[in-house]
Amino acid sequence: MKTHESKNKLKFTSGKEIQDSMGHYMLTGDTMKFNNSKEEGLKAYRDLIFNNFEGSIETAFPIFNKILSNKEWELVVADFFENNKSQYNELWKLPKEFVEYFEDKKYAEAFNKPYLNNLLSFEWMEVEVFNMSDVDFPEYKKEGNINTDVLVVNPEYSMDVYDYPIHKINIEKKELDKIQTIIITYRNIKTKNAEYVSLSVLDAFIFEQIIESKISFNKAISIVEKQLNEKLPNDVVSVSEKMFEELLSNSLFLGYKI
Amino acid sequence: MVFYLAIIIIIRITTTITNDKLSVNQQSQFSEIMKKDINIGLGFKKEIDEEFFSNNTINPDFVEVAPENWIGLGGYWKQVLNKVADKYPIITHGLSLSVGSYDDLDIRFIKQVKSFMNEYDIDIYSEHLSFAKTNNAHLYDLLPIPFREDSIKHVSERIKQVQDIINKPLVIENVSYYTSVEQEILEIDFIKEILHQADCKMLLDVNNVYVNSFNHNYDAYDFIKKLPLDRVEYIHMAGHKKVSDNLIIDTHGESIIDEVYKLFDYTTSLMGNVPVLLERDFNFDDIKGLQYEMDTMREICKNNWI
Repeated sequence: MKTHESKNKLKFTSGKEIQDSMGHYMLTGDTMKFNNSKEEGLKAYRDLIFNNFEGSIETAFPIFNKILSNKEWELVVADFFENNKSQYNELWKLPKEFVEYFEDKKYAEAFNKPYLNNLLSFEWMEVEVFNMSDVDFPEYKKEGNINTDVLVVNPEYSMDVYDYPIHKINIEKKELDKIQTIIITYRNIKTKNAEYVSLSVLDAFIFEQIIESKISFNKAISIVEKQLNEKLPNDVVSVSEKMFEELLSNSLFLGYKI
Repeated sequence: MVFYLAIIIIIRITTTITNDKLSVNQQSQFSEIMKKDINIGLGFKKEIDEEFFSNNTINPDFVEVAPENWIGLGGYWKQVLNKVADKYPIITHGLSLSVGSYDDLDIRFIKQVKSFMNEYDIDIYSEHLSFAKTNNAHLYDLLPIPFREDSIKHVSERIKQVQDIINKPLVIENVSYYTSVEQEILEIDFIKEILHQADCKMLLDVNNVYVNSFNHNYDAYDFIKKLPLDRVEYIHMAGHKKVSDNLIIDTHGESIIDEVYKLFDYTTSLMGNVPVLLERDFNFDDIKGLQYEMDTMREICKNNWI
Protein backbone atom coordinates (compact mmCIF):
# COMPACT_ATOMS: atom_id res chain seq x y z
CA MET A 1 0.00 0.00 0.00
CA LYS A 2 1.17 3.51 -0.73
CA THR A 3 2.58 5.51 2.13
CA HIS A 4 2.95 8.87 0.48
CA GLU A 5 0.12 11.33 0.63
CA SER A 6 -0.55 13.86 -2.06
CA LYS A 7 -3.24 16.21 -0.85
CA ASN A 8 -5.43 16.98 -3.80
CA LYS A 9 -8.01 19.56 -2.96
CA LEU A 10 -10.73 19.28 -5.57
CA LYS A 11 -13.93 21.12 -6.18
CA PHE A 12 -16.66 18.68 -7.02
CA THR A 13 -19.64 19.52 -9.15
CA SER A 14 -21.55 16.24 -8.94
CA GLY A 15 -22.16 13.20 -6.78
CA LYS A 16 -20.51 11.08 -9.46
CA GLU A 17 -17.25 13.04 -9.23
CA ILE A 18 -17.25 12.67 -5.47
CA GLN A 19 -17.85 8.93 -5.59
CA ASP A 20 -15.23 8.38 -8.28
CA SER A 21 -12.72 10.30 -6.17
CA MET A 22 -13.63 8.31 -3.08
CA GLY A 23 -13.21 5.08 -5.01
CA HIS A 24 -9.85 6.26 -6.31
CA TYR A 25 -8.69 7.02 -2.78
CA MET A 26 -9.92 3.68 -1.45
CA LEU A 27 -7.88 1.72 -3.97
CA THR A 28 -4.79 3.90 -4.35
CA GLY A 29 -4.39 5.73 -1.07
CA ASP A 30 -3.91 8.99 -2.96
CA THR A 31 -5.50 11.23 -0.35
CA MET A 32 -8.30 13.43 -1.55
CA LYS A 33 -9.42 16.47 0.41
CA PHE A 34 -13.18 16.29 0.77
CA ASN A 35 -15.33 18.86 2.51
CA ASN A 36 -16.94 17.73 5.76
CA SER A 37 -14.97 14.50 5.90
CA LYS A 38 -12.88 12.81 8.56
CA GLU A 39 -9.52 11.33 7.59
CA GLU A 40 -9.84 8.64 10.25
CA GLY A 41 -13.15 7.56 8.76
CA LEU A 42 -11.84 7.51 5.19
CA LYS A 43 -8.84 5.48 6.27
CA ALA A 44 -11.11 3.03 8.14
CA TYR A 45 -12.97 2.36 4.89
CA ARG A 46 -9.76 1.87 2.96
CA ASP A 47 -8.50 -0.60 5.57
CA LEU A 48 -11.79 -2.51 5.59
CA ILE A 49 -11.84 -2.78 1.80
CA PHE A 50 -8.22 -3.88 1.65
CA ASN A 51 -8.85 -6.51 4.32
CA ASN A 52 -11.77 -7.87 2.31
CA PHE A 53 -9.60 -8.16 -0.79
CA GLU A 54 -6.66 -9.70 1.01
CA GLY A 55 -8.87 -12.05 3.04
CA SER A 56 -10.60 -13.44 -0.02
CA ILE A 57 -7.26 -14.12 -1.75
CA GLU A 58 -5.73 -15.67 1.34
CA THR A 59 -8.74 -17.95 1.79
CA ALA A 60 -8.73 -19.12 -1.82
CA PHE A 61 -4.96 -19.67 -2.07
CA PRO A 62 -3.63 -21.05 1.23
CA ILE A 63 -0.65 -22.86 -0.36
CA PHE A 64 0.26 -19.90 -2.58
CA ASN A 65 0.14 -17.73 0.52
CA LYS A 66 2.68 -19.97 2.26
CA ILE A 67 4.98 -20.21 -0.76
CA LEU A 68 5.38 -16.45 -1.12
CA SER A 69 7.60 -14.43 1.19
CA ASN A 70 5.85 -11.69 3.16
CA LYS A 71 7.42 -9.10 0.90
CA GLU A 72 6.22 -10.85 -2.28
CA TRP A 73 2.74 -11.32 -0.83
CA GLU A 74 2.39 -7.68 0.20
CA LEU A 75 3.68 -6.48 -3.17
CA VAL A 76 1.35 -8.50 -5.36
CA VAL A 77 -1.77 -8.09 -3.19
CA ALA A 78 -1.28 -4.32 -2.97
CA ASP A 79 -0.75 -4.11 -6.73
CA PHE A 80 -3.86 -6.17 -7.43
CA PHE A 81 -5.89 -4.14 -4.94
CA GLU A 82 -4.88 -0.87 -6.56
CA ASN A 83 -5.15 -1.79 -10.19
CA ASN A 84 -7.68 -4.56 -10.70
CA LYS A 85 -11.15 -3.48 -11.77
CA SER A 86 -13.15 -6.09 -9.90
CA GLN A 87 -16.14 -7.18 -11.90
CA TYR A 88 -17.78 -9.87 -9.79
CA ASN A 89 -20.69 -9.13 -7.49
CA GLU A 90 -19.60 -12.10 -5.44
CA LEU A 91 -16.53 -11.53 -3.28
CA TRP A 92 -15.73 -15.25 -3.31
CA LYS A 93 -15.11 -15.00 -7.07
CA LEU A 94 -12.58 -12.18 -6.74
CA PRO A 95 -9.63 -14.63 -6.51
CA LYS A 96 -10.42 -15.77 -10.05
CA GLU A 97 -9.47 -12.30 -11.23
CA PHE A 98 -6.33 -12.51 -9.12
CA VAL A 99 -5.24 -15.62 -11.06
CA GLU A 100 -5.53 -13.72 -14.33
CA TYR A 101 -3.89 -10.59 -12.94
CA PHE A 102 -0.92 -12.49 -11.52
CA GLU A 103 -0.32 -14.19 -14.86
CA ASP A 104 -0.76 -11.02 -16.93
CA LYS A 105 1.72 -9.12 -14.77
CA LYS A 106 4.25 -11.97 -15.02
CA TYR A 107 4.79 -12.19 -11.29
CA ALA A 108 5.80 -15.86 -11.47
CA GLU A 109 8.87 -14.90 -13.50
CA ALA A 110 9.56 -11.87 -11.31
CA PHE A 111 9.52 -14.04 -8.18
CA ASN A 112 11.58 -16.73 -9.92
CA LYS A 113 8.93 -19.32 -9.12
CA PRO A 114 7.65 -20.23 -12.58
CA TYR A 115 5.14 -22.79 -11.26
CA LEU A 116 3.10 -20.12 -9.42
CA ASN A 117 0.66 -19.56 -12.29
CA ASN A 118 -0.14 -23.26 -12.21
CA LEU A 119 -0.45 -23.22 -8.43
CA LEU A 120 -3.01 -20.42 -8.49
CA SER A 121 -5.01 -22.15 -11.23
CA PHE A 122 -4.89 -25.43 -9.33
CA GLU A 123 -6.02 -23.89 -6.04
CA TRP A 124 -8.74 -21.87 -7.76
CA MET A 125 -10.04 -24.96 -9.55
CA GLU A 126 -10.68 -26.58 -6.17
CA VAL A 127 -12.80 -23.57 -5.13
CA GLU A 128 -14.61 -23.44 -8.47
CA VAL A 129 -15.46 -27.14 -8.58
CA PHE A 130 -16.56 -27.17 -4.92
CA ASN A 131 -18.94 -24.28 -5.59
CA MET A 132 -20.01 -25.06 -9.16
CA SER A 133 -23.73 -25.17 -9.92
CA ASP A 134 -25.29 -28.59 -9.72
CA VAL A 135 -25.31 -30.48 -13.01
CA ASP A 136 -28.08 -32.99 -13.73
CA PHE A 137 -26.69 -36.49 -13.37
CA PRO A 138 -27.47 -38.98 -16.14
CA GLU A 139 -29.15 -42.23 -15.18
CA TYR A 140 -26.74 -44.98 -14.21
CA LYS A 141 -26.51 -48.31 -12.41
CA LYS A 142 -23.94 -49.20 -9.78
CA GLU A 143 -23.41 -52.81 -10.86
CA GLY A 144 -21.53 -53.59 -14.06
CA ASN A 145 -18.31 -54.62 -15.72
CA ILE A 146 -15.69 -51.98 -16.43
CA ASN A 147 -14.41 -53.87 -19.45
CA THR A 148 -17.69 -54.35 -21.22
CA ASP A 149 -20.22 -51.83 -19.87
CA VAL A 150 -20.38 -48.18 -20.85
CA LEU A 151 -18.93 -45.99 -18.10
CA VAL A 152 -20.97 -42.97 -16.95
CA VAL A 153 -18.86 -40.02 -15.81
CA ASN A 154 -19.66 -37.69 -12.95
CA PRO A 155 -20.37 -34.46 -14.91
CA GLU A 156 -19.07 -32.23 -12.09
CA TYR A 157 -15.40 -32.19 -13.02
CA SER A 158 -12.72 -30.20 -14.81
CA MET A 159 -9.72 -31.74 -16.60
CA ASP A 160 -6.75 -29.37 -16.83
CA VAL A 161 -3.23 -29.58 -18.19
CA TYR A 162 -0.45 -27.99 -16.12
CA ASP A 163 3.19 -27.39 -16.96
CA TYR A 164 4.26 -28.58 -13.51
CA PRO A 165 3.21 -31.45 -11.20
CA ILE A 166 1.59 -28.78 -9.10
CA HIS A 167 -0.19 -31.19 -6.77
CA LYS A 168 3.23 -32.24 -5.49
CA ILE A 169 4.30 -28.77 -4.40
CA ASN A 170 6.16 -28.71 -1.11
CA ILE A 171 5.82 -25.48 0.85
CA GLU A 172 9.26 -25.97 2.42
CA LYS A 173 11.16 -26.81 -0.77
CA LYS A 174 9.31 -24.34 -3.03
CA GLU A 175 10.71 -25.89 -6.23
CA LEU A 176 9.25 -28.06 -8.97
CA ASP A 177 10.66 -29.54 -12.14
CA LYS A 178 8.77 -28.76 -15.31
CA ILE A 179 6.75 -31.87 -16.23
CA GLN A 180 3.46 -31.71 -18.08
CA THR A 181 0.75 -32.91 -15.71
CA ILE A 182 -2.91 -33.69 -16.22
CA ILE A 183 -5.20 -33.26 -13.25
CA ILE A 184 -8.92 -33.85 -12.98
CA THR A 185 -10.66 -31.93 -10.20
CA TYR A 186 -14.11 -33.27 -9.43
CA ARG A 187 -16.85 -33.02 -6.82
CA ASN A 188 -17.27 -36.19 -4.80
CA ILE A 189 -20.93 -37.21 -5.06
CA LYS A 190 -21.11 -38.30 -1.42
CA THR A 191 -19.06 -35.75 0.49
CA LYS A 192 -19.52 -32.91 -2.05
CA ASN A 193 -15.89 -32.02 -1.45
CA ALA A 194 -13.63 -31.12 -4.37
CA GLU A 195 -11.05 -33.84 -4.92
CA TYR A 196 -8.39 -34.30 -7.56
CA VAL A 197 -6.60 -37.08 -9.36
CA SER A 198 -3.50 -36.91 -11.52
CA LEU A 199 -3.68 -38.93 -14.74
CA SER A 200 -0.93 -40.19 -17.02
CA VAL A 201 -1.14 -39.03 -20.63
CA LEU A 202 -2.38 -42.48 -21.62
CA ASP A 203 -5.09 -42.53 -18.95
CA ALA A 204 -6.19 -39.03 -19.91
CA PHE A 205 -6.42 -40.21 -23.51
CA ILE A 206 -8.52 -43.21 -22.48
CA PHE A 207 -10.69 -40.96 -20.29
CA GLU A 208 -11.37 -38.65 -23.23
CA GLN A 209 -12.41 -41.56 -25.44
CA ILE A 210 -14.86 -42.78 -22.79
CA ILE A 211 -16.34 -39.28 -22.38
CA GLU A 212 -16.58 -38.48 -26.08
CA SER A 213 -17.78 -41.84 -27.38
CA LYS A 214 -19.65 -43.14 -24.30
CA ILE A 215 -17.97 -46.53 -24.31
CA SER A 216 -16.49 -49.17 -22.00
CA PHE A 217 -12.87 -49.26 -20.85
CA ASN A 218 -11.99 -52.08 -23.28
CA LYS A 219 -13.55 -50.25 -26.19
CA ALA A 220 -11.60 -47.14 -25.29
CA ILE A 221 -8.38 -49.18 -25.24
CA SER A 222 -9.17 -50.46 -28.73
CA ILE A 223 -9.65 -46.93 -30.03
CA VAL A 224 -6.44 -45.74 -28.40
CA GLU A 225 -4.49 -48.65 -29.89
CA LYS A 226 -5.95 -47.90 -33.30
CA GLN A 227 -4.94 -44.25 -33.07
CA LEU A 228 -1.46 -45.13 -31.82
CA ASN A 229 -1.28 -47.86 -34.42
CA GLU A 230 0.18 -50.31 -31.91
CA LYS A 231 -1.04 -52.80 -29.35
CA LEU A 232 -0.58 -51.70 -25.75
CA PRO A 233 1.37 -54.14 -23.55
CA ASN A 234 -0.84 -56.12 -21.15
CA ASP A 235 0.87 -54.74 -18.04
CA VAL A 236 0.24 -51.17 -19.23
CA VAL A 237 -3.43 -51.91 -19.85
CA SER A 238 -3.63 -53.59 -16.46
CA VAL A 239 -2.26 -50.51 -14.67
CA SER A 240 -4.76 -48.30 -16.50
CA GLU A 241 -7.60 -50.67 -15.68
CA LYS A 242 -6.74 -50.42 -11.98
CA MET A 243 -6.68 -46.66 -12.25
CA PHE A 244 -10.13 -46.55 -13.83
CA GLU A 245 -11.51 -48.92 -11.18
CA GLU A 246 -10.18 -46.47 -8.62
CA LEU A 247 -11.86 -43.58 -10.44
CA LEU A 248 -15.07 -45.58 -10.26
CA SER A 249 -14.79 -46.13 -6.53
CA ASN A 250 -13.83 -42.46 -6.02
CA SER A 251 -16.99 -41.31 -7.86
CA LEU A 252 -15.31 -39.65 -10.83
CA PHE A 253 -17.30 -42.30 -12.62
CA LEU A 254 -20.82 -42.70 -11.30
CA GLY A 255 -21.32 -46.25 -12.60
CA TYR A 256 -22.55 -47.85 -15.79
CA LYS A 257 -25.08 -46.94 -18.43
CA ILE A 258 -28.51 -48.46 -17.94
CA MET B 1 -31.39 -10.00 31.33
CA VAL B 2 -32.85 -8.98 34.70
CA PHE B 3 -30.37 -6.14 34.90
CA TYR B 4 -31.31 -4.99 31.44
CA LEU B 5 -35.08 -5.13 32.07
CA ALA B 6 -34.55 -3.04 35.19
CA ILE B 7 -32.81 -0.45 33.05
CA ILE B 8 -35.73 -0.45 30.61
CA ILE B 9 -38.17 0.28 33.42
CA ILE B 10 -36.04 3.16 34.63
CA ILE B 11 -35.83 4.58 31.11
CA ARG B 12 -39.58 4.30 30.72
CA ILE B 13 -40.06 6.34 33.85
CA THR B 14 -37.49 8.98 33.00
CA THR B 15 -37.96 9.30 29.25
CA THR B 16 -40.74 11.40 27.88
CA ILE B 17 -41.94 9.89 24.63
CA THR B 18 -43.68 12.54 22.64
CA ASN B 19 -44.60 10.43 19.61
CA ASP B 20 -47.80 8.50 19.46
CA LYS B 21 -47.20 4.85 18.71
CA LEU B 22 -47.71 4.15 15.04
CA SER B 23 -50.45 1.87 13.88
CA VAL B 24 -49.91 -1.66 15.13
CA ASN B 25 -51.77 -2.84 12.07
CA GLN B 26 -48.89 -2.01 9.80
CA GLN B 27 -48.23 -5.15 7.79
CA SER B 28 -44.91 -6.58 6.84
CA GLN B 29 -44.59 -8.00 3.32
CA PHE B 30 -43.68 -11.33 4.82
CA SER B 31 -45.92 -11.30 7.85
CA GLU B 32 -47.84 -14.23 6.42
CA ILE B 33 -44.87 -16.56 6.56
CA MET B 34 -43.84 -15.50 10.04
CA LYS B 35 -45.23 -17.96 12.48
CA LYS B 36 -45.03 -16.29 15.86
CA ASP B 37 -46.40 -13.17 17.52
CA ILE B 38 -42.84 -11.92 17.82
CA ASN B 39 -40.31 -12.94 15.16
CA ILE B 40 -36.62 -12.76 15.94
CA GLY B 41 -34.21 -13.89 13.23
CA LEU B 42 -30.51 -14.47 12.83
CA GLY B 43 -28.24 -13.93 9.84
CA PHE B 44 -27.35 -17.34 8.39
CA LYS B 45 -23.58 -17.81 8.30
CA LYS B 46 -21.66 -20.65 6.72
CA GLU B 47 -19.25 -20.65 9.65
CA ILE B 48 -21.96 -21.89 12.00
CA ASP B 49 -24.30 -23.62 9.56
CA GLU B 50 -24.73 -26.77 11.66
CA GLU B 51 -25.93 -24.78 14.67
CA PHE B 52 -29.04 -23.82 12.72
CA PHE B 53 -30.13 -27.44 12.53
CA SER B 54 -29.21 -28.73 15.96
CA ASN B 55 -32.18 -27.28 17.90
CA ASN B 56 -29.94 -27.08 20.94
CA THR B 57 -28.33 -23.68 21.06
CA ILE B 58 -29.96 -21.25 18.64
CA ASN B 59 -33.58 -21.12 17.60
CA PRO B 60 -34.24 -18.17 15.29
CA ASP B 61 -37.71 -17.69 13.82
CA PHE B 62 -36.27 -16.80 10.43
CA VAL B 63 -32.91 -16.24 8.74
CA GLU B 64 -31.32 -13.76 6.38
CA VAL B 65 -28.86 -14.58 3.60
CA ALA B 66 -26.79 -12.43 1.27
CA PRO B 67 -27.81 -13.51 -2.25
CA GLU B 68 -24.27 -12.87 -3.53
CA ASN B 69 -23.00 -15.65 -1.28
CA TRP B 70 -25.49 -18.24 -2.51
CA ILE B 71 -26.64 -17.57 -6.07
CA GLY B 72 -25.35 -20.20 -8.46
CA LEU B 73 -23.77 -22.40 -5.81
CA GLY B 74 -24.20 -26.13 -6.08
CA GLY B 75 -22.89 -29.08 -4.11
CA TYR B 76 -22.57 -28.87 -0.34
CA TRP B 77 -23.82 -25.32 0.04
CA LYS B 78 -26.80 -25.91 -2.21
CA GLN B 79 -27.80 -28.82 0.01
CA VAL B 80 -27.39 -26.65 3.09
CA LEU B 81 -29.45 -23.84 1.58
CA ASN B 82 -32.21 -26.30 0.71
CA LYS B 83 -32.23 -27.45 4.33
CA VAL B 84 -32.38 -23.85 5.51
CA ALA B 85 -35.33 -23.16 3.24
CA ASP B 86 -37.11 -26.26 4.54
CA LYS B 87 -36.76 -25.12 8.13
CA TYR B 88 -36.87 -21.31 8.10
CA PRO B 89 -38.49 -18.38 6.30
CA ILE B 90 -35.67 -16.55 4.45
CA ILE B 91 -34.98 -12.90 3.73
CA THR B 92 -32.36 -11.80 1.19
CA HIS B 93 -30.10 -9.01 2.30
CA GLY B 94 -27.85 -7.86 -0.54
CA LEU B 95 -24.34 -6.47 -0.50
CA SER B 96 -23.41 -5.51 -4.04
CA LEU B 97 -26.43 -3.90 -5.68
CA SER B 98 -24.85 -0.51 -5.06
CA VAL B 99 -28.00 1.60 -5.39
CA GLY B 100 -25.93 4.71 -4.78
CA SER B 101 -23.50 4.20 -7.66
CA TYR B 102 -23.29 6.08 -10.92
CA ASP B 103 -22.20 2.92 -12.70
CA ASP B 104 -25.09 1.28 -14.51
CA LEU B 105 -27.29 -1.02 -12.46
CA ASP B 106 -26.39 -4.65 -13.04
CA ILE B 107 -29.69 -5.78 -14.52
CA ARG B 108 -28.48 -9.33 -15.08
CA PHE B 109 -27.60 -9.61 -11.39
CA ILE B 110 -30.94 -8.17 -10.26
CA LYS B 111 -32.72 -10.76 -12.39
CA GLN B 112 -30.58 -13.46 -10.80
CA VAL B 113 -31.67 -12.22 -7.39
CA LYS B 114 -35.28 -12.30 -8.53
CA SER B 115 -34.91 -15.91 -9.71
CA PHE B 116 -33.21 -16.83 -6.45
CA MET B 117 -36.10 -15.31 -4.50
CA ASN B 118 -38.63 -17.21 -6.61
CA GLU B 119 -36.73 -20.48 -6.18
CA TYR B 120 -36.73 -20.18 -2.39
CA ASP B 121 -40.08 -18.44 -1.99
CA ILE B 122 -38.48 -15.29 -0.57
CA ASP B 123 -40.54 -12.10 -0.33
CA ILE B 124 -37.98 -9.60 0.90
CA TYR B 125 -34.95 -8.13 -0.87
CA SER B 126 -33.21 -5.59 1.29
CA GLU B 127 -30.15 -3.57 0.39
CA HIS B 128 -28.01 -0.77 1.76
CA LEU B 129 -28.37 2.93 1.16
CA SER B 130 -24.76 3.16 0.05
CA PHE B 131 -22.50 2.59 -2.92
CA ALA B 132 -20.16 -0.35 -3.33
CA LYS B 133 -19.05 0.16 -6.91
CA THR B 134 -17.48 3.07 -8.74
CA ASN B 135 -15.26 3.57 -11.79
CA ASN B 136 -16.49 0.18 -13.04
CA ALA B 137 -14.98 -1.65 -10.06
CA HIS B 138 -16.57 -3.41 -7.09
CA LEU B 139 -15.16 -2.29 -3.75
CA TYR B 140 -16.79 -4.99 -1.58
CA ASP B 141 -17.74 -2.58 1.16
CA LEU B 142 -20.55 -0.13 1.79
CA LEU B 143 -19.50 3.47 1.27
CA PRO B 144 -21.63 6.46 2.27
CA ILE B 145 -23.43 8.27 -0.50
CA PRO B 146 -22.76 12.01 -0.32
CA PHE B 147 -25.81 13.58 1.32
CA ARG B 148 -26.73 15.91 -1.53
CA GLU B 149 -29.83 16.80 -3.50
CA ASP B 150 -28.51 15.35 -6.76
CA SER B 151 -27.81 12.06 -4.97
CA ILE B 152 -31.40 11.85 -3.74
CA LYS B 153 -32.86 12.06 -7.21
CA HIS B 154 -30.29 9.67 -8.64
CA VAL B 155 -30.67 7.01 -5.95
CA SER B 156 -34.46 7.21 -5.90
CA GLU B 157 -34.62 6.58 -9.64
CA ARG B 158 -32.35 3.56 -9.31
CA ILE B 159 -34.42 2.10 -6.48
CA LYS B 160 -37.51 2.47 -8.66
CA GLN B 161 -35.71 0.67 -11.48
CA VAL B 162 -34.90 -2.24 -9.17
CA GLN B 163 -38.46 -2.36 -7.87
CA ASP B 164 -39.77 -2.53 -11.42
CA ILE B 165 -37.63 -5.59 -12.07
CA ILE B 166 -38.27 -7.48 -8.85
CA ASN B 167 -41.88 -6.37 -8.92
CA LYS B 168 -42.02 -5.54 -5.23
CA PRO B 169 -40.76 -2.80 -2.93
CA LEU B 170 -37.04 -2.77 -2.27
CA VAL B 171 -36.25 -2.56 1.42
CA ILE B 172 -33.52 0.01 2.02
CA GLU B 173 -31.25 0.00 5.07
CA ASN B 174 -29.80 3.05 6.79
CA VAL B 175 -26.08 2.29 6.81
CA SER B 176 -23.43 3.06 9.38
CA TYR B 177 -20.81 5.50 8.13
CA TYR B 178 -17.45 6.60 9.39
CA THR B 179 -17.22 9.89 7.57
CA SER B 180 -19.59 12.02 5.60
CA VAL B 181 -18.24 13.38 2.33
CA GLU B 182 -19.16 16.70 0.74
CA GLN B 183 -22.32 16.71 2.85
CA GLU B 184 -24.90 19.37 1.97
CA ILE B 185 -28.01 18.13 3.75
CA LEU B 186 -28.76 16.24 6.95
CA GLU B 187 -28.64 12.45 6.94
CA ILE B 188 -32.19 12.22 8.30
CA ASP B 189 -33.53 14.42 5.49
CA PHE B 190 -31.54 12.44 2.92
CA ILE B 191 -33.01 9.12 4.07
CA LYS B 192 -36.56 10.41 4.43
CA GLU B 193 -36.56 12.01 1.00
CA ILE B 194 -35.25 8.89 -0.72
CA LEU B 195 -37.81 6.66 1.01
CA HIS B 196 -40.48 9.10 -0.10
CA GLN B 197 -39.33 9.65 -3.69
CA ALA B 198 -38.60 5.98 -4.34
CA ASP B 199 -41.67 4.90 -2.38
CA CYS B 200 -39.72 1.99 -0.96
CA LYS B 201 -39.63 0.22 2.39
CA MET B 202 -37.04 0.63 5.10
CA LEU B 203 -34.82 -1.78 6.96
CA LEU B 204 -34.09 0.11 10.15
CA ASP B 205 -30.73 -0.80 11.63
CA VAL B 206 -30.91 0.44 15.18
CA ASN B 207 -27.25 -0.25 15.89
CA ASN B 208 -26.33 1.82 12.83
CA VAL B 209 -28.29 4.76 14.21
CA TYR B 210 -26.40 4.42 17.47
CA VAL B 211 -23.03 4.14 15.69
CA ASN B 212 -23.75 7.14 13.50
CA SER B 213 -25.01 9.24 16.39
CA PHE B 214 -21.68 8.66 18.13
CA ASN B 215 -19.51 9.13 15.05
CA HIS B 216 -21.32 12.26 13.91
CA ASN B 217 -22.44 13.63 17.22
CA TYR B 218 -26.23 13.71 17.04
CA ASP B 219 -29.14 12.51 19.16
CA ALA B 220 -30.04 8.95 18.20
CA TYR B 221 -33.47 9.13 19.85
CA ASP B 222 -34.36 12.28 17.97
CA PHE B 223 -33.18 10.64 14.74
CA ILE B 224 -35.38 7.59 15.31
CA LYS B 225 -38.34 9.79 16.16
CA LYS B 226 -38.03 11.65 12.87
CA LEU B 227 -37.92 8.52 10.69
CA PRO B 228 -41.02 7.41 8.79
CA LEU B 229 -41.42 4.32 10.95
CA ASP B 230 -44.52 3.20 9.08
CA ARG B 231 -42.17 2.28 6.22
CA VAL B 232 -40.05 -0.04 8.35
CA GLU B 233 -40.30 -3.61 7.08
CA TYR B 234 -37.96 -5.12 9.61
CA ILE B 235 -35.22 -4.18 12.06
CA HIS B 236 -31.54 -5.05 12.30
CA MET B 237 -29.62 -5.26 15.55
CA ALA B 238 -25.90 -5.94 15.94
CA GLY B 239 -22.78 -5.33 17.95
CA HIS B 240 -20.07 -2.79 17.18
CA LYS B 241 -16.56 -1.83 18.27
CA LYS B 242 -15.26 1.50 19.48
CA VAL B 243 -11.83 1.83 17.87
CA SER B 244 -10.93 5.36 19.02
CA ASP B 245 -12.34 8.27 20.99
CA ASN B 246 -14.09 9.46 17.85
CA LEU B 247 -14.94 6.35 15.88
CA ILE B 248 -17.13 3.29 16.25
CA ILE B 249 -16.96 0.59 13.56
CA ASP B 250 -20.08 -1.44 12.82
CA THR B 251 -18.28 -4.78 13.06
CA HIS B 252 -21.13 -7.26 13.57
CA GLY B 253 -18.58 -9.12 15.64
CA GLU B 254 -19.34 -8.09 19.20
CA SER B 255 -22.22 -8.41 21.63
CA ILE B 256 -24.95 -5.77 21.60
CA ILE B 257 -24.33 -3.14 24.26
CA ASP B 258 -26.98 -1.90 26.69
CA GLU B 259 -27.20 1.54 25.07
CA VAL B 260 -28.25 -0.09 21.80
CA TYR B 261 -30.83 -2.25 23.61
CA LYS B 262 -32.20 0.96 25.14
CA LEU B 263 -32.45 2.58 21.73
CA PHE B 264 -34.11 -0.57 20.40
CA ASP B 265 -36.63 -0.45 23.23
CA TYR B 266 -37.39 3.17 22.43
CA THR B 267 -37.70 2.40 18.71
CA THR B 268 -40.04 -0.55 19.16
CA SER B 269 -42.16 1.48 21.55
CA LEU B 270 -42.88 3.90 18.70
CA MET B 271 -43.90 1.43 16.03
CA GLY B 272 -45.92 -1.65 15.20
CA ASN B 273 -44.82 -5.26 15.22
CA VAL B 274 -42.18 -6.13 12.62
CA PRO B 275 -39.56 -8.90 12.51
CA VAL B 276 -36.18 -8.23 14.08
CA LEU B 277 -32.90 -9.75 12.95
CA LEU B 278 -29.62 -10.16 14.78
CA GLU B 279 -26.53 -9.75 12.59
CA ARG B 280 -23.30 -11.49 13.54
CA ASP B 281 -20.54 -11.92 10.96
CA PHE B 282 -17.69 -13.33 13.06
CA ASN B 283 -16.68 -14.21 16.64
CA PHE B 284 -18.87 -17.28 16.91
CA ASP B 285 -17.23 -18.79 19.98
CA ASP B 286 -20.20 -18.02 22.19
CA ILE B 287 -23.18 -19.44 20.32
CA LYS B 288 -25.32 -19.34 23.45
CA GLY B 289 -24.61 -15.62 23.59
CA LEU B 290 -26.39 -15.20 20.25
CA GLN B 291 -29.49 -16.91 21.63
CA TYR B 292 -29.26 -14.71 24.71
CA GLU B 293 -29.26 -11.62 22.50
CA MET B 294 -32.27 -12.91 20.55
CA ASP B 295 -34.08 -13.69 23.82
CA THR B 296 -33.36 -10.21 25.12
CA MET B 297 -34.76 -8.60 21.98
CA ARG B 298 -37.80 -10.86 22.16
CA GLU B 299 -38.53 -9.70 25.71
CA ILE B 300 -38.29 -6.08 24.68
CA CYS B 301 -40.59 -6.68 21.72
CA LYS B 302 -43.11 -8.51 23.88
CA ASN B 303 -43.19 -5.60 26.28
CA ASN B 304 -43.89 -3.18 23.46
CA TRP B 305 -45.97 -5.20 21.04
CA ILE B 306 -47.99 -7.81 22.90
